[in-house]
Amino acid sequence: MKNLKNLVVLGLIVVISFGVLGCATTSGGSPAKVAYSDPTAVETTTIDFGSSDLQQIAEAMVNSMLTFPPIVQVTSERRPVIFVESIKNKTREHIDTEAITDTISTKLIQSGKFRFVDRTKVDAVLKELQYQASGIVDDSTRAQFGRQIGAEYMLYGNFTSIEKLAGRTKDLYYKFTLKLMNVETGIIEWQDEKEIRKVATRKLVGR
Amino acid sequence: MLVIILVTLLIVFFCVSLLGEKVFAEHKRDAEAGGRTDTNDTGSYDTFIVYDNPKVKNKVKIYNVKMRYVNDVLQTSVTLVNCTKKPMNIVYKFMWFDKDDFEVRANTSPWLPLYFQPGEQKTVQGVAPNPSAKSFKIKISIDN
Repeated sequence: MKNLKNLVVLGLIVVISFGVLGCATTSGGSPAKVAYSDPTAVETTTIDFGSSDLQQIAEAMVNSMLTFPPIVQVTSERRPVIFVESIKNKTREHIDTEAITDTISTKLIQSGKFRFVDRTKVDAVLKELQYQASGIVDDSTRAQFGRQIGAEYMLYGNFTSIEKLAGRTKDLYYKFTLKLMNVETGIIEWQDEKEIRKVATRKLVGR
Repeated sequence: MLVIILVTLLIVFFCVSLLGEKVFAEHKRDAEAGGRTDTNDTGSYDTFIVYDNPKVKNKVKIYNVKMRYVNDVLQTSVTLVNCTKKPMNIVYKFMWFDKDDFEVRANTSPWLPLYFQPGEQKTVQGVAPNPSAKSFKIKISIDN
């Protein structure tokens, strides 16, 4: 009888231990199964800003810029130089807007129609130029001061959202506005918007 | 007399078929060369569509394809039609090919969502990643 009691207690300990371990693994965020997936697939894990929204915005902006007649005229003659200022994130979410502008500039460079300068790397470039001018580097191969190209256009914009919650339904509207300003004249040569609306309905049971 | 009439009818039928094939070939050539097409024969555009999911096959078809070059970059406009009697959520993506049929910037175009009412036609547009793209296909799947 005593042995049976011990066995029951031991069984309970084993079951509880497995349960605790299981909970620890799930709450730790490690999924039970990991698999590679298509990074370009439509992702609707949550209603928040996601990879599909980023890709849709970048695609719409680049397509619009590449086919806007005045820009077509400019890029048929030369490859203008652009610098990316910033996208003001006016949404409630923490969104890495640099990821959006990085995708947009990647697509524009790959189109062969534009060139970019990166002003965020001025310090690193300056350090390299100073090193090359220090006498250590062969004079015939060293980069010269004062030869960098000035940007002709500035790319900047805003990202806003409107969120509405009614009962179990959440409506999330995003508006991404991108502008291309001529640095010399201050004229906005191109501007476009991409709107995204997402609706999530919470289930009656479960999370 | 009857034989002459039959032979004449056969010749007329043969000529009409030949003319039809020629018109279709011209439409296809125009599309491939960057011109524009305006035929509404859904069967004519099967070469432009790739069904990524068997569930969507024959449920969505191309109604119209237009192509043009903007500053050497291929731009396309595809009108899709929901051939079913139910609303559909589909996803689509453009694939671009160079003159040697190599995919340009393979697997970088995003899947884009599209909502259809029953029988509704919707036009989607795409712009090639760069001037090396000379043809395209539209890939269609179901939104999971």
